[in-house]
Amino acid sequence: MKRKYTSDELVIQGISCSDDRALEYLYKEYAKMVNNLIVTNSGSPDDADDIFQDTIIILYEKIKSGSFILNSSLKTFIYSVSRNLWLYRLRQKTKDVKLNDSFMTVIADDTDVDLFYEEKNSNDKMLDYIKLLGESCKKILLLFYYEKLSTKEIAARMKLAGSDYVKTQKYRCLQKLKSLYIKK
Amino acid sequence: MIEQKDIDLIDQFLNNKLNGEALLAFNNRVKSDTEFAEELEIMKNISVGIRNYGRQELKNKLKSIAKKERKQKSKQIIYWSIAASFLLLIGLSGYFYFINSKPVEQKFAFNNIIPPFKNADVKYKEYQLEAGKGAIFSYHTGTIITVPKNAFIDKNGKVVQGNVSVKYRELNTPEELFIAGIPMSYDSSGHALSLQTAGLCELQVYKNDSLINIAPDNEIKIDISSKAGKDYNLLLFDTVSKKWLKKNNDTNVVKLDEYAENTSTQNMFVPRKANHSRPRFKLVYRDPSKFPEFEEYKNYSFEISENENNYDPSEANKNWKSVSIKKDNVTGEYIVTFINPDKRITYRTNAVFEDKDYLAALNIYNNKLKEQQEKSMVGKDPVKLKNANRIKDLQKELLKNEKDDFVAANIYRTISVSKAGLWCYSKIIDKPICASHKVDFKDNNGTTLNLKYIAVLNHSKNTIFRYTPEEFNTIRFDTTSGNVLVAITSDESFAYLKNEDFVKLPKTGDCNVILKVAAKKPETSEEIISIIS
Repeated sequence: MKRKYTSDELVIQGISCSDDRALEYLYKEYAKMVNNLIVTNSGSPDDADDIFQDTIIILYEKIKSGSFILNSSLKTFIYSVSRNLWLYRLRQKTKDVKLNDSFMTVIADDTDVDLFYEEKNSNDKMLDYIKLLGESCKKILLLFYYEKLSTKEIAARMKLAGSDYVKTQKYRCLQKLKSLYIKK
Repeated sequence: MIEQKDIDLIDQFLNNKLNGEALLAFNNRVKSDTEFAEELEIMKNISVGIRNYGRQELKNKLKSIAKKERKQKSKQIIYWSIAASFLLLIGLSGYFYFINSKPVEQKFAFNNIIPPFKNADVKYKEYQLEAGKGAIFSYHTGTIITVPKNAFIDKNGKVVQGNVSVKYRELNTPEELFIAGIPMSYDSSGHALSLQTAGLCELQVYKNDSLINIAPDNEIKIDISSKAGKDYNLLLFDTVSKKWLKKNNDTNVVKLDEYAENTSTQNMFVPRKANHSRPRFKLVYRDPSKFPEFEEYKNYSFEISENENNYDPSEANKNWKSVSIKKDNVTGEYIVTFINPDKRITYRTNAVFEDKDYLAALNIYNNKLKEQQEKSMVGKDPVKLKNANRIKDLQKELLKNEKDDFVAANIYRTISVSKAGLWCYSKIIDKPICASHKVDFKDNNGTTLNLKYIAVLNHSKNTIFRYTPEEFNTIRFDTTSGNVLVAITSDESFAYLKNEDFVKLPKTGDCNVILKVAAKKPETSEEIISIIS
């Protein structure tokens, strides 16, 4: 039986166990709010989409790493991260922009937006090498390093022999990636 | 040579999982082992690379969700225009569905109060009373049950007289809820939710072993020992519809210590009337500000206390160099010490007033008391204050009665019981979203278990999540707190998975779950609790 998302707490649980319906819920609930925020502050609808997606990525990573604490509401979190991301982008542009008053009065969130963008804009080569790996390797590394799953959980998710098998495979995949990286 | 275990160590470092000595050893190795240091740098690059790969994948997923949502929005408009023509059809098919549905099997039926192990049910405490007189009882959690006189009626509505017995129990932990077979599902317009409880009790009344009712205009009051927190509603389990019905919003939680009498009123000076047969003396002090409690009073004197056995009248005629005065906060007496270089004598005294002055003093006292009480209760809800005082009085009465092993609790919620049965203060919460799918339950020998009951006991939410047979191959659980899985096999054996093993289950995906099976059918509630804790 499918469960509906009805509360912030459930969304956090859903993301922690990789239920894509949690992402759909976030889109339905909050995309419009972020769109309004960006387009009323010198952004285009495409900018709004982009900012919303980056905001969800930040939220996703915080939940996966276990460092997300819901102090207020998801709505407040999403609003303030979107705003900070958009301010960062605006600083990169040189032209004058028009911001409405309420844009400047939101309490800042502690998320390190600068680090997020710096990391995102770096290491393009490594990304290319990762894409050269086989599907199974990519998935194991993604589940381990990005989704923060244990090797046992990866075995269950990918229907592999077991935790030890995943560990060996992960080691082999890393060796392969390393050899591609060093050969550069 | 870098091995798998070195990579594991670097993974732990990059995930901030190394602490103390392990972290120190790691840093030392980075300084001394160049190959290891190089590997760390490569792994840092790799992990950033994988993070970016993950971000790209997630972004693509979000883009496709956005695309799907936009498409759906445009379709919705068309749906609405043709929806009306379907309404009649849906109505008819719903009608046939209800006619054809069969009654649910009673045994382990989802919404009945049926203890999974009949002999191991949570025991009731039984109280006897005379119906015409009423009574006050306590339960070991600190709960107080007040039965007014003539509170019971028979099935014809006639007031019951003579001896009756009240059976009462509380189910305060997920284990007790499971053992007593309490349904913790809550249906909200077809949406299945759960109940998180802050106090759940059951009360039944008998006269000569037959159930009797509570008179609707003469409710029994249960001041149930409860938990802090808000949004707990009062619910009654309706045994006919087999549903929890909402009775009240949570408005009457009281924390007694918040209504403690202010110490300034406790230590206030209380005027006493002079006893003409006892000796007394007057004192005039150089610095009246040292005794501000006397400031507004006039014409008082110190009377030798009845507790003072060493009074010597001859000392009254002597001259004393100095006098000191101290208050005994326990008895309210003033301890007066007369001091001379060669001698000091101490008497216990009370500050008293002559008849006419006493009335004036009492007036001053009452005004001061009122003022202090108002000051200490600023911002307090008068209804809650009244309720807190009522509960405190009941506590005092029960504590006085040493036969009753009463333990006073601090947080209470009040239930006015107009109907015998199952009552609770509960918060309505969502069922967990995370799940392991296609779960295959096996025993220690690898044999697949045929189960007829599965529930997850959750401590942080203080509830049980029970599953219908259709949900048996999916275990849903709250990943953020401790869980215990309990199950009953088709041959009535008790199978379980303790929290320490539960945390090892994958949060998602297919899995085999190996349950422990108790050697024999449990016979007491204590046995069940000791097996799973």
